[in-house]
Amino acid sequence: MSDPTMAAEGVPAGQTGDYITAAEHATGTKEKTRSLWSDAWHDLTRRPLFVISMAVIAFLVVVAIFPSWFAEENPRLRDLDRARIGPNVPYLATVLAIIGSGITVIAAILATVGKLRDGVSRKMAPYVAGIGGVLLLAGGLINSVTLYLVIGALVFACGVVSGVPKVSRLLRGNAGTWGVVALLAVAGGAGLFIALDDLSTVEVGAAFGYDQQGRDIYARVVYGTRYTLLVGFSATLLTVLIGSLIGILSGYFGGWLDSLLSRIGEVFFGLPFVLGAIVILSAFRSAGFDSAPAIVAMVVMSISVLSWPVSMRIMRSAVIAAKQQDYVKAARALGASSARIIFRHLLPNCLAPVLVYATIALGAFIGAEATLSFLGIGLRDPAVSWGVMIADSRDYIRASPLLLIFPASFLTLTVLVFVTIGDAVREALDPKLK
Amino acid sequence: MGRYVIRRLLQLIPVFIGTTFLVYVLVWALPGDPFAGMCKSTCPPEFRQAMIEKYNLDENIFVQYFTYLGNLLQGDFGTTYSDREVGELIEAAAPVSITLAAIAVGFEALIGVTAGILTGLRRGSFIDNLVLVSTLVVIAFPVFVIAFVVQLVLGSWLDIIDLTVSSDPSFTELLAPGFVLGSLSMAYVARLTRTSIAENRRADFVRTAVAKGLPQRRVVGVHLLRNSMIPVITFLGTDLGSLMGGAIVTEGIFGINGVGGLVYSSILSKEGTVVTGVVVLLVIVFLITNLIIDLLYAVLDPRIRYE
Repeated sequence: MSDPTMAAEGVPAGQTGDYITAAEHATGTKEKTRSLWSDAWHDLTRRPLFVISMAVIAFLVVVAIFPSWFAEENPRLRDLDRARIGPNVPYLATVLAIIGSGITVIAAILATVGKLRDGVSRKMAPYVAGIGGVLLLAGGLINSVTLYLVIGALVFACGVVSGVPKVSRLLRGNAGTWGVVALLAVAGGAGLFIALDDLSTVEVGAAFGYDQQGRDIYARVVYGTRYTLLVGFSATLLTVLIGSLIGILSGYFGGWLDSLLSRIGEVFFGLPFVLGAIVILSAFRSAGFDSAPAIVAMVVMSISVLSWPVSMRIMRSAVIAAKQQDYVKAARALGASSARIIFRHLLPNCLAPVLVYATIALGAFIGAEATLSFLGIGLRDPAVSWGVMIADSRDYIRASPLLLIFPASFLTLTVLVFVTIGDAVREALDPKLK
Repeated sequence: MGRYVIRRLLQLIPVFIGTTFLVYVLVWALPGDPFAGMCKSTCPPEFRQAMIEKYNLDENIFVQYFTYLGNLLQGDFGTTYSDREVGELIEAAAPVSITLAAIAVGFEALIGVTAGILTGLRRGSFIDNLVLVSTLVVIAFPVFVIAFVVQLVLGSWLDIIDLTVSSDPSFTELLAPGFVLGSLSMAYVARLTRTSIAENRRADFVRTAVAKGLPQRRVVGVHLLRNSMIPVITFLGTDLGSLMGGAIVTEGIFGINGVGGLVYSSILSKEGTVVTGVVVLLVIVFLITNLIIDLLYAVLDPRIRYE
């Protein structure tokens, strides 16, 4: 601790925006009171939408890392004989029903746990039941299976009844709540039983059908997760790293350095995003980068180069505000070096607004990647993302809109999940809204 | 006030030069043959030489850039490879893009601000939650998906609009594309207005206005709204600037021959003069709108004085 350079070198490892490290750091150096970070974390883990969104992201990350666990078909296998064959509706309906029933069972478990031990699981149960119900209803609707529809409606109704405060008051007392839990468990179990039974009768495979070149859309969606998430995460990380570094330097040192860096930031900020990205990408495209990592790196770079001024501004204003605080003056009076003040004192205290920006930007960058791929200058084969799939489908949209709908709905769901998390993080970290 | 404007205009100059130089370098100085798109196979050397002389490509990049800038200041945007005036091309494409951006911002202001006020005044109500969730969903949809959905539903299924607009689109034809273009920012405007209103509702001046017995309509309409609009107007202004160039996707899907389509096709066909010309114009629009917004602050909020 006495060696400032050691401290300065030690911190950047925890600077990656990891909650726990930051929370430990903040509580470790200060007294035992709850810091902003542990307070925010405490608040976040009690928000059902946040927990559900995190679960969805965890699932998507698993899919991105191990796509072969989820799709057996080779996503690059072309067979023009099966070009633009529609989805395998009975199979899709059965799978939806199985997933929906499974989620319903989880909802029942969550409700039981929540009933016994008050916690977030109690608040989550209605949402989870709602999701399960919707999936079951969807499965029933697309293949008109009355049983799925009935079970789905029942589960959905359970979710609504236990979720809406005005309605759930009708079920005051133990009997009512246990009744709903039992209903959920029975409905989920029955759904699972029926759907698994149906699975043996339907033809398995090609749940989403085949695209214009006869490739399995489901397999492509599964394998596309990797590049979609990869671009989103790396672009966010790079943007935040560049922006925070420049923002800290410019806010801390001020003077001519601040003016210079701010002007440079404005230069990049002045370029319209889509236009700038197209110019950059097409300029480097002619330079010839064809391997998948190179294509990904180009897209990530062009997104970050055009976005860093935003995180720089956020960091800069946070640093300027924090610089005047007593603890910074005290550190300086004790003879701490600039590096130590920046990494030990300013960084942990200025991370919150940048982190909020980062979570929201993640969703936005995934959307940006899709837009660029859609324009034909973002990712391309061999780096297949959902954006590329949507771009491939654009000429067939009127003939077979499903080519668009499957990748687009996964894309939208992912962005939605990230934006929800960003929203929750912002509310948890923003003292103004408390 | 006058001194402030002059200082701001002087500050614009380095940013303007920096941004345009950046684009110029990206378009002209990067590896790759700028004339690759012009000839079927390889260009004959005489032709290459003529082209290189015409666009000063044998000079140092700084000399090239400042020659270009000098011509630009005299109103000369240069010519395309096929000898068309870039200025004329932009002049032909600009009106429709400006109309489109104005429609988009109009929708944002109308729907976004209304939704924001309704929800900001009743935080935690059913409408509030409904608007919050629907803005989240709109934010999650990439603009091209919204465009395709609008095309599919309004165009193919309901047959209310044509799938693509005519070559010289009327105002009503541009309504649907304008709505699509503004949809994302509409969600942001609604959220921004909501937060701003909710914050200001507890402010002292609102309590004073209520205490002195003003009717609700006046408290909200004059005191609360005027003070809450500052961040919203900043957003709308910057959006107007960025939408003019950011309409590439929407213009492409609806087949509108505007600035976005012009610049996109020029980037693909490597028409460097057109790309730089359009980007220069867009940067000017962007910088000027930002300046105007800053000046608008003083009108909206009497506490802000520029000296």
